[in-house]
Amino acid sequence: MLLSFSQINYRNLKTPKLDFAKGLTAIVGQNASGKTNILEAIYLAYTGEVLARRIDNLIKHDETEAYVSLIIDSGFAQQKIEIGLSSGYKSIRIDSQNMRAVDLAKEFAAVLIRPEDASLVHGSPSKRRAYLDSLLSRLSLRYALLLKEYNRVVEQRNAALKNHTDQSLPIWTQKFLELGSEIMSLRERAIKRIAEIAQETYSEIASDSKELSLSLQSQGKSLEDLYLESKAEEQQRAITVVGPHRDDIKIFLNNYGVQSYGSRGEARTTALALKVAEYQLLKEKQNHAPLLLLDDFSAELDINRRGFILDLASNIPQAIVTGTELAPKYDQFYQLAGGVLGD
Amino acid sequence: MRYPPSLLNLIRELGKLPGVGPKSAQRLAFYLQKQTSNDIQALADAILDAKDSLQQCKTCFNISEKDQCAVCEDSLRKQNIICVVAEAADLLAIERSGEYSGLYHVLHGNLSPMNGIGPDQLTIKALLTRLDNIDEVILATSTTVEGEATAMYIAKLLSEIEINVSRIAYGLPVGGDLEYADEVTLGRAISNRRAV
Repeated sequence: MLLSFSQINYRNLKTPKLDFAKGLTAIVGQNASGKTNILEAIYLAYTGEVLARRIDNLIKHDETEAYVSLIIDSGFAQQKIEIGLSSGYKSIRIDSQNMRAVDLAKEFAAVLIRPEDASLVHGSPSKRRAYLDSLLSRLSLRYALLLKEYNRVVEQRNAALKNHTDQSLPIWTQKFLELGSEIMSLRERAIKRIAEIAQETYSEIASDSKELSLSLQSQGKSLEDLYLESKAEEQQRAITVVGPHRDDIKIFLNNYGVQSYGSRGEARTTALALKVAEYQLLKEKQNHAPLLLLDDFSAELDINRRGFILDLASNIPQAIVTGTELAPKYDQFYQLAGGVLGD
Repeated sequence: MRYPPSLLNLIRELGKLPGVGPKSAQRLAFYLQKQTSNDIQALADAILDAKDSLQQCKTCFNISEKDQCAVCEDSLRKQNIICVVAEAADLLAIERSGEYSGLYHVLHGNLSPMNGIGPDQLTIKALLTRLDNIDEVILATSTTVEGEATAMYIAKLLSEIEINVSRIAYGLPVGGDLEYADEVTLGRAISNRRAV
């Protein structure tokens, strides 16, 4: 359970410290009052994931460093997570020991639900890959390290493709096929579980009794085949054009693709179902409920979805919910104005 | 105030060293500037002297003051086994272990197309000319993506010749508790287990 959040120079936040308790904490404030910044900073400390385009964007204007720390009660002891941010660089410490982002995922889990999640469905394939990679990396250390290695191999392979005198290309191709196939099979297994939970959630929220299904674009094909089919294009463009770094999740309602034919409401419900799947899977892995961070519930105008997320937030051990209005049920609340805590 | 050009120049030169970022370079520059002329002269001499007197061994490309390095000159070492390493520093690390008494071959890097390093930039061709009377080649490049690719590349070349090729084992640090080993190291140690 999150006990407290502190920060120095994190964006425009003027609140140095916030205490939290179990149950639902509501943070109320107008737009641009710093609500989202607080949730993103907490999410950063739980996962090591930088949601801004660059680390520098997280540091207050005119400053060179920023700092975020959390105190978390793990049931046995209090632990302190510290994140240091300086130009292009991020450091992570748990109880004063230097750690990697993958070490955070061993003990801590948080899920951030925010209005822009709809782009998971309507946005580019990279958004869906990022969702899958972020979730799987937190579920499995092996996946996280495999992905890092794979990305490096693709980078090296692309460089070898551009340099025609480099004799090492077959080795990079072999590595690419080996690591890429392993990532594809781990993703395929995960997408089945995600689909089960997302489908259940979808039918719980929507009253249209449509069936949600998910699959990888590459489903049923081996990387080797994809690679052989793409050889002509690869030669022409001198980059690796197939593989997990180019894959996509296909989302269907009954039999039409939500990405192209779904309504805005269907897309939002689908995105929410994907986030609930993330929550459930992390919960299964950790054996305890992740912290739920729900950003701007008041931006959700649909009564079914709003009811569903607020229900979810108030029925789990700990959730932090922001909005321009007060959540209907809460255990404690903070008021924010211009990044400053009011009463 | 801007730094004087001579100081900027020193910071820039120091910043080219591996592992030295802009801040460290600045700290080193200020430190050096405070030392006595004699100390600075000694440092400069040491750098120049090392550059002048050190060369690569003509056989194995280890660092050496003569045409042949101390390892290649030593006729008591096993002459039928070669351990391939990326850098001379890796050779010294294996020497410190005291477990190995064969010959070496220093590649001077790992394959890395991103940095313009292909097989031709390494000493792989020279390795292939050394294989008469050799029974085993040990590939002791690191376990990074680049080190693995380099080992695979050489293994493939050697598979065409009748020669034993081995890769150094992945495993647990000696004296380490299993509980604290990272999962990947532990996983590899399990899959590469051996009979006792």
